[in-house]
Amino acid sequence: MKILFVGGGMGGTIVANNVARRLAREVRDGKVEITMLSATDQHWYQPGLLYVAFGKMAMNDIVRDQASLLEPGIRFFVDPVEEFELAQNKVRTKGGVVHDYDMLVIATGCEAVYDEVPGLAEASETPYTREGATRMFKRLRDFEGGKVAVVVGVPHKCPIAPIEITFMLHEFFEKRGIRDKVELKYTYPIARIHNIENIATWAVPEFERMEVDYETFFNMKEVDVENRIVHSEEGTEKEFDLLVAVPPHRGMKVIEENNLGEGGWIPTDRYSLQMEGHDNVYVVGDTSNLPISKTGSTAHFQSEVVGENIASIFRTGSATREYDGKVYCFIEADQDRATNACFNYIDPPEIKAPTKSMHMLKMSYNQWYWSSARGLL
Amino acid sequence: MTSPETPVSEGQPQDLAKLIELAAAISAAQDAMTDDIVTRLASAMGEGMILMDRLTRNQGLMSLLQALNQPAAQDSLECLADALRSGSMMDAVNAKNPKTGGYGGLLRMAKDPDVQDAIYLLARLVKGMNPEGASKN
Repeated sequence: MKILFVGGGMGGTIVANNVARRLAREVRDGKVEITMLSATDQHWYQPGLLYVAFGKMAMNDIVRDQASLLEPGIRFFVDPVEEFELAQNKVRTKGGVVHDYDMLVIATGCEAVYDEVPGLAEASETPYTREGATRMFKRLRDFEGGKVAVVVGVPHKCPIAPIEITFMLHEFFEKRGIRDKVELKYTYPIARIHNIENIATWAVPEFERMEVDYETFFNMKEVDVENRIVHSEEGTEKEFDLLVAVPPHRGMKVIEENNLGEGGWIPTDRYSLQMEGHDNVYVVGDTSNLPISKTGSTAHFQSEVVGENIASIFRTGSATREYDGKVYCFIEADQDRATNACFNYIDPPEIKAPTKSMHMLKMSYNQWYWSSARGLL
Repeated sequence: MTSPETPVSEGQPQDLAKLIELAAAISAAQDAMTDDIVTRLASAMGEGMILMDRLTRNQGLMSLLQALNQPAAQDSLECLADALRSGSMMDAVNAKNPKTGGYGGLLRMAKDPDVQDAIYLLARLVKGMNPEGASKN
């Protein structure tokens, strides 16, 4: 049996390792062949970029060689896929190599896009890219006060990020002793300050305590770079001296170019995680079109389902598990306190009071991520 | 003779005091922890977990550990450790076989019964590593 993974980010890596662990003997005996195709030989801990942007982690703390994270027996090639031929169970890579498969796992992820909001790329700082995180830290370090606006595009990776970034901005300026010189303004595209109601309910008093001004129904239309004003589709505007953006995201172009899904999001069964119309194709993490959080924990919990089902299909011919929509997010509330949100398709999150223990757990997880990617945690 | 029964409730204030003491100790430890300390400890734990995971799932290593766990193997390991500790191995070799070099020196060394024993032991080990050789033994 040939199992092919396209994409070596969090989703692809953790599922590939999960499958390799479950089928270790079969891989050794040559009955199962696991191959991963990726666009890069590096693996980035993407949530770490937020800490880089605030000077809490260094860039080299959040990167490892991809090959070092993979289970023995996984064949790894840096050669991204350019063509999917699902009807023939084949893919063709940029290097011209054709890989056939019995089972395919697509985990190509998503990326920030700026072209939908004119002026956003030029005017804003963001922790969502490596270059952006480094630049944002320098801007924050040198900022002497003024109007700071947080703007949010949809959909975006990490649902908690807009609120978390705002909390961290408050903390950062407070530590620098310039909080009283900063007007911190938060905007959000829908009727409340977060799309998950319980998180919005919890965050409002936190914003009021931190004296963060907020405006809902603010969908970015364009940014007037020269006059430093961001305009919304709703006709309102926000002046800024420093603009911090959670940019809108789209699935990878290769997905759309191969007509696998509009906007780069692949139509996916919410329980089986199989691509609609293709029983031998699984979609993991940010790549799916499921209306759930695009976060590493989603890929993590999906990996258990996909890993077990692939192993089960190989051994018994049928899948055994379904994904329940589980997501787990840490929320850094201030300098040394954090809380968490855990939810699924049915149960919404219940946000507890932030504690130091939870902050320590989050700091620990930043190190344990590598165990998680290896399929151990 | 039986002692009067102690009411359960009498033990509770002491238990509560212990819990409060424990909570205070945890709180004090938390206060002492910085992000740097947590990061270093978590990193060591994470890497340790990965190492343990790799070692315990390495079938070759597990077989070797099983073999080393046998009494005879433990005796051999102890002898090896003693020899390394005292330096007696090299002393013995140097004393019996001055470093003259050449075929003569090699022949003198080969006549030594201890060297012959060692060569025989190595030969058995190499033979054992070959599955066919091992089955013929």
